[in-house]
Amino acid sequence: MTTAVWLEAAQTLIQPSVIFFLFAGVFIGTMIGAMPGLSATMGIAIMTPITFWFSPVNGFAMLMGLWNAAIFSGGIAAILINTPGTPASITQSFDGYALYKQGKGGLALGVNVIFSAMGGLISTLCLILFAGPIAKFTIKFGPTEYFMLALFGLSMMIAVSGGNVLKGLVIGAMGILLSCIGLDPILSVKRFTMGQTSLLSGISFIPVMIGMFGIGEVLYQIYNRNKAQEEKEQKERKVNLQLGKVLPSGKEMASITPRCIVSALAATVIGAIPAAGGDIASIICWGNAKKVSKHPEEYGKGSVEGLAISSSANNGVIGGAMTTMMTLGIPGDSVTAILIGSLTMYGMQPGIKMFTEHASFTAQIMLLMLLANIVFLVFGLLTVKASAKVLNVAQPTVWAAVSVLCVVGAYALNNNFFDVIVMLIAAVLGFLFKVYKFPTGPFILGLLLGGMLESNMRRALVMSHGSYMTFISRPVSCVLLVLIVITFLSPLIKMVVIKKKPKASIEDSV
Amino acid sequence: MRKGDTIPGALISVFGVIFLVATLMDSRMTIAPVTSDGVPGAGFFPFVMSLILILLGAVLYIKGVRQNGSVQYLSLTAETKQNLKKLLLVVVGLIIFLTLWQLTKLFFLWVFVFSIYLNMVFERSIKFTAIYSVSLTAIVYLVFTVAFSIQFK
Repeated sequence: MTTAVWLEAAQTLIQPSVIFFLFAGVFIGTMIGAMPGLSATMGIAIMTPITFWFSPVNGFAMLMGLWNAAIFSGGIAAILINTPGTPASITQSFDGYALYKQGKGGLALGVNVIFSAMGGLISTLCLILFAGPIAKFTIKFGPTEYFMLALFGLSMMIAVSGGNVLKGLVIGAMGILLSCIGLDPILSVKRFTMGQTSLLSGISFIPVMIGMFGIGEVLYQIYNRNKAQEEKEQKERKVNLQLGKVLPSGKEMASITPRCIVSALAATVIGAIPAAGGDIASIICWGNAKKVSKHPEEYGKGSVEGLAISSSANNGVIGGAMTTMMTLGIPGDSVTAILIGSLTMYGMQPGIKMFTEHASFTAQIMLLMLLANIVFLVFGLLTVKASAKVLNVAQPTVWAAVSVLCVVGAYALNNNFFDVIVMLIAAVLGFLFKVYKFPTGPFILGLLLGGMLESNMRRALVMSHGSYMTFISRPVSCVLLVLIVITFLSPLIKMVVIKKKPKASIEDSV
Repeated sequence: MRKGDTIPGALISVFGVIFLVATLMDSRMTIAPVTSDGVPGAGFFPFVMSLILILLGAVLYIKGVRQNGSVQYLSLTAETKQNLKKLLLVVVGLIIFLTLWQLTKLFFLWVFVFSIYLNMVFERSIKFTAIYSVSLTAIVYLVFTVAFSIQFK
């Protein structure tokens, strides 16, 4: 992308409407992230239908603001009530809550804001630097490579299916099978449409996301409600410990910053791997930082460094996830999966065309991500002490609003009641997946990538006159195939190794 | 009744069988190549995926049987039973809300009633329920109908 493209993108962002929607996104994201049980994915899923009524740049300004702010503010609940507001903030509760108990809650909240913004900025810079070259590399890709790429994305997501590869496989296959509903991508034959015109274009992806991450999540929270735990949290909120100073000292900043830069870079790489989200990144970064720290004994007991590492890692994944999504069309996590749906609704397709035909808009998205981090840094620091008030919102208040907004949002997408029915079915499915511990990620990815898998596989076969050797004979495709085999076999190899390992040595390693 | 992964495993296999039968029964969804270039027919991909799903569902079922009841997902305590009752009330309320909306086309009336219903299920006070339901309905009306001109039919 040329300098002119960047300048043009920057000029567009100076418009008051863009700034307004960015601030609105940051505000909504901060509220959503701070409330336990409301995730960034849920927020994005509910807000996406609303943004379709805006211009693309205004819509993405709101979504980028919301996403970046929701991830940072997940740390607020983790610090103040020891309950991560989003899965990505799990490790922030280890040190953040301990700091709060020591009367350093203000410092913990300040560190969360500053280092989350730092992580977000570094990973966005990585996105700006590397997305273009990666996209250029994909120019050489044909249907064979795209088929393998989709399969690789799916295999990665299954591999990190919370330790249950079989369930990940089952649910991924189910998603792919459901993606077959609608017109066949090559011959335009109607498949499983049951005479419904609404099904001709397939199952709408965004209503499924709204159902699974909106009402589905609400149903699971109702089912899993623990009143004793709620009362305990209520009491903790009333304790009102002194928050103390907010900003870390210059000495603290100087000692922590280099480690946080490394953590943010590592998180960016982790974020680029499909399904490896903020939770995985922050656990890996926090664990590794503890190993090399001068004061590992402080980790988990109120280490400012540990909290800063976690904060930079969870926002650091965003740039990585966006890189995979924008260059390859493979979602890095559930939020980027919805963003692919958003781009498609705006008439854009992730991949090389984002850097050629829609280069200006791509640059706008990247600059919006930088701006979002700066805005939530300022907003977060100004409202550190007030943010604790968000936690006082009772869960049933949120459940009722989410239920209504999911119905409204699903309908508003296409003014189609059929989407509401799809959303409701997805909500029940999402609830059942959670109860029976099936990971939702592979299902979403299967549904999203199923079409890409099938159409590219068949196109590749057309080009090779029906020869399946095309998937092995092309270098990039062959490398991806090897990686897919390794990914699928790794749990089996791990299982065999653990079985062969003498019991004593396992105990030693633990 | 067997617990663990047996029921989901069986259901997933049944789901795969439904798609497999639907594929085989539809004459347009051919599995073998219909043209000389060797590209598989429209039924090839669903056929393969439904076979994979049936197989994986069966593996999950067998795994569940071998676990012999050691994994229980729906262990119903007194509190869970109470929660499940509320969950069912929410789902039934949602279905009734959507049905009434489609029958009468009076969307905002039913949003208001549904909001009151949910707050009653969640045992909120009358004052809170009233203020909340009026506010929520007003917000939805102002944002979606006034600002975005969406007609809820």
